[in-house]
Amino acid sequence: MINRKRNTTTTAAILKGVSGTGTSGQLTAIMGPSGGGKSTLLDILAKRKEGEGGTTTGQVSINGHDINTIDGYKGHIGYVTQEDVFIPTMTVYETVLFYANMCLPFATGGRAKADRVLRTLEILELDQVKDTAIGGELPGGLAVRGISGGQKRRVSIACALVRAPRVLFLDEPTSGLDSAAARVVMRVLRSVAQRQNKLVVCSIHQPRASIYYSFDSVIVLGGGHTLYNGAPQDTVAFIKRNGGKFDEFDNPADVLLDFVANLDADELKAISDKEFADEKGVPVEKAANASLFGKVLKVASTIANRGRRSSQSASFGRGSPVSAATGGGGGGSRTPSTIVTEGNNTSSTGATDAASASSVASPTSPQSPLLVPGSSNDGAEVVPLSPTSNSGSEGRPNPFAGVKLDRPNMVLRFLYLLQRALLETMRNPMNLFVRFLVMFFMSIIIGVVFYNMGFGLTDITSKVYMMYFALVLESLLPFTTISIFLDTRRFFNRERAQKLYSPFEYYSASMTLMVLQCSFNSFVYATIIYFMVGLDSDFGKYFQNILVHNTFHITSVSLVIAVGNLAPNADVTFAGSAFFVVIHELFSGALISISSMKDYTKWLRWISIYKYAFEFLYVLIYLFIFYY
Amino acid sequence: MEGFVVDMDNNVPLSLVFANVKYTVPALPLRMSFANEAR
Repeated sequence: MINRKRNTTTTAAILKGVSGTGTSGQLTAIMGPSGGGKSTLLDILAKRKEGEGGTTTGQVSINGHDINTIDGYKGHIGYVTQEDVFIPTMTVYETVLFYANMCLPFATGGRAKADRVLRTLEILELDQVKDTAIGGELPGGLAVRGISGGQKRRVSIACALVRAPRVLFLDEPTSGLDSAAARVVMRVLRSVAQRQNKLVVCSIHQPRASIYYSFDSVIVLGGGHTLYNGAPQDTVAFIKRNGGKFDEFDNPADVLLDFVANLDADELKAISDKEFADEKGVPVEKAANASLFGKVLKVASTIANRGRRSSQSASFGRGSPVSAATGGGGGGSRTPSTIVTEGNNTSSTGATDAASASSVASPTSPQSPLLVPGSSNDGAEVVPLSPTSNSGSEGRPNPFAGVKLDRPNMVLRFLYLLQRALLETMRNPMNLFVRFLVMFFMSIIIGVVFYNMGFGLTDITSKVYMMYFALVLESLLPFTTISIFLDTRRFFNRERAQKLYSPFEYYSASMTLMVLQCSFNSFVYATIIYFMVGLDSDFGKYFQNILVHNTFHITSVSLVIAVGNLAPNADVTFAGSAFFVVIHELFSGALISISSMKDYTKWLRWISIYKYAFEFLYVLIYLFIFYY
Repeated sequence: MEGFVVDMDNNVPLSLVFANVKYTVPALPLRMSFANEAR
């Protein structure tokens, strides 16, 4: 029996209390089996889970500053998705330049932007292909030859990097790439992390051994728990001490994932509790009583190193996220940590109670179980973290505080979008030409069929149907834009997620171009028909006739685009558009006289765009009364 | 809208820490969203 009670709300826990660290200058990987929450965690770290309906709790901080308290956090970070979504006809340089234009203030200047783009392409080893098209499939199926998959992935990274983010998150940057391409991606990511001292965090599914060992730190998730956080070299020991088997010829990433995948939820939780309880000197029993590591750990804090880190790779201590943070201080710098042992959850919105701050272990206490054995804290500062008081950042400068954030204004963003839309249209003119040619030849055909008609009753009746027929084509042709519109929605979704522009700016640019195209096409179309059919030669009437056709055509396209915005896919867009067009036609007044309609359906004529266009043309030219 | 970093040479050391992060979603039988949907 189906339970129809809708108030019963069940939830699924994707993450059950994960913890970990990452340090600038190093590559950090988040690993785990499919469905383990890698991408979810990455999204939370990048604040991309807001507004999705899920509930996030816990603490995410950078240099002791809760990310929710960092002004313009998303402006400081870059996020590279798994999919490489670009306009196929644009070159690598043009693509990255678009991102630079949309993100850098106008005062930067064209030269400086170009230099920045070239510098970024050089870092990403893309300077040799900068003038090559991205390539890919165009709407409708035509393909454009372009750069390889690995190069596309690096273009995605370049688009994020050209904004000079301090933190870079990448969702499975090597998935779908062959071995050589994946190695190049990892090489450039290491170069980015080390040369620019960026904080680079990647989610990664099942890397090859060479890729796996190229990370400085690995965070392994399983069953919603953190199972391991440390150097990739130490995972073998992790597997063995938890009862797994490892052969020296095995890929540790494969063995690790197989090991995790074969454990049930209780076993995963037990390993998580055991691993991190051991590391911090907390008795295992105590950790177990606290249910899981996440309940024992209330808040973790780590402070950035003094001075710039050495770019050399550092070997982390095994196990805990704390050890990773503390052990990552290459070049003599240190990163002490403090963990709070208190049971309540913290809210991602910063709702930590004052007690939690006060319960922070004494930073100077040598007995603090939360300072990792072997990590030195001399000369270092241990600061508790509290989102409400920001006590974790007291005395420490906010690394983002002095960083200038800026961008071009709305008008400039609109112009850059319009420029790109024009470029895209001119590079792929088939749709544009086809629509023009169809309207041109159709106007000729209509002109020939209704050529130079007189003013007898039969001719006038024919002209009335001609006017209606002419409108039909203008309302059907917009269907040809559906595939293009839905294709560009991919770009829109991706770029809007990156905060490149607002929907208003995007649609303003798209609609401006659409209005220009429609106006030109309908101008040619209506002009040919007007003079071939032999309508009134008065210029005023001719001009108004053109205006009606333009407005009608633009409105028809807008209607289809509106349906496309509401519909989830092409099928629904076609069906929905067809439905609306037919409804508009039905109540145009041409098929059935308004006076013959039932009273309860008459009102529908007011929503028919056909009615307005048809009536206007009719009255404009004939002023006949039998229409009503 | 938020701005973006202007200075490309900013390289202040950073340390990311996340602790006890939990995420729950309503258990719906089917969830659909557009690829790359803005978040």
